[in-house]
Amino acid sequence: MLSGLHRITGCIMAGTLLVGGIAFAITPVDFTTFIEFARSLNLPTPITSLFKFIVAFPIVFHSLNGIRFMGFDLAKGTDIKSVYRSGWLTLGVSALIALAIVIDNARNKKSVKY
Amino acid sequence: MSLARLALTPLRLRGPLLAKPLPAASLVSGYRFNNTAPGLSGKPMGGHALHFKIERYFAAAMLPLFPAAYFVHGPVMDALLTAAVALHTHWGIVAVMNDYGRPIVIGETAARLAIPFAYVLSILLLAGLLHFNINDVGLTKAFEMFYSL
Repeated sequence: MLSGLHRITGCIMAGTLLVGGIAFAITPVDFTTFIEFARSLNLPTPITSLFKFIVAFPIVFHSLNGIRFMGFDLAKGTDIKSVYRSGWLTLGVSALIALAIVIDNARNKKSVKY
Repeated sequence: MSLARLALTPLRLRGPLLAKPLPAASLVSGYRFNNTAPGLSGKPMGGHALHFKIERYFAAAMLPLFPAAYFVHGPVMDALLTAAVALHTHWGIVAVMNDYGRPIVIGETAARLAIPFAYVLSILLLAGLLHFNINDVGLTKAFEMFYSL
């Protein structure tokens, strides 16, 4: 399950960077315009926080699970109990860190000059 | 040794199944994209072991970049992130294509084009990221702006 999620988060992040990078290069829209458009939608804070979580979580999860998988490559923690335990731990810690990022961001959100 | 049987086996387990080099499906106009083809060296998995090691060491090395990027922003961090992400993602895309872009899944012609297509995607990714860093706000600034919404 988690190796699938590892691959999926990797592919989604890669896809986003690919599509975003190319789109901002070939269309007349640049990133600033995109952000100003998003700001003009005046979305409520729970919605923006949700999006921020959705952006943060794949990065954190893929990184932490990457460490876990490299442990497996070194044959550490490969008995089935450890696999399950480390799996839940990785999922939980990733969610917590992503949540912490969003909360920290909500508390001291600096208006960025650009 | 049927091609279908071979195609169904994941790349890393193919060694014992191969008694002779892979047929022409692994060559595209004379250029080898599949560096694990056993004809390349005496070993059954070809050069795969070294590639695997390099991949993992690189992934481990780029890991501290992400917590650092949370605190340190700027064009240098953008460049480091771009380099790390482009290479890591390139290997990832090739791995995914190797796993799923097989004749039994998508047909013979598409399978032959799968790996070159993976390279095209990687090049597009690098180009997009470089353009974004040079002609647009840059990765770290983009995250700052997104998280200021």
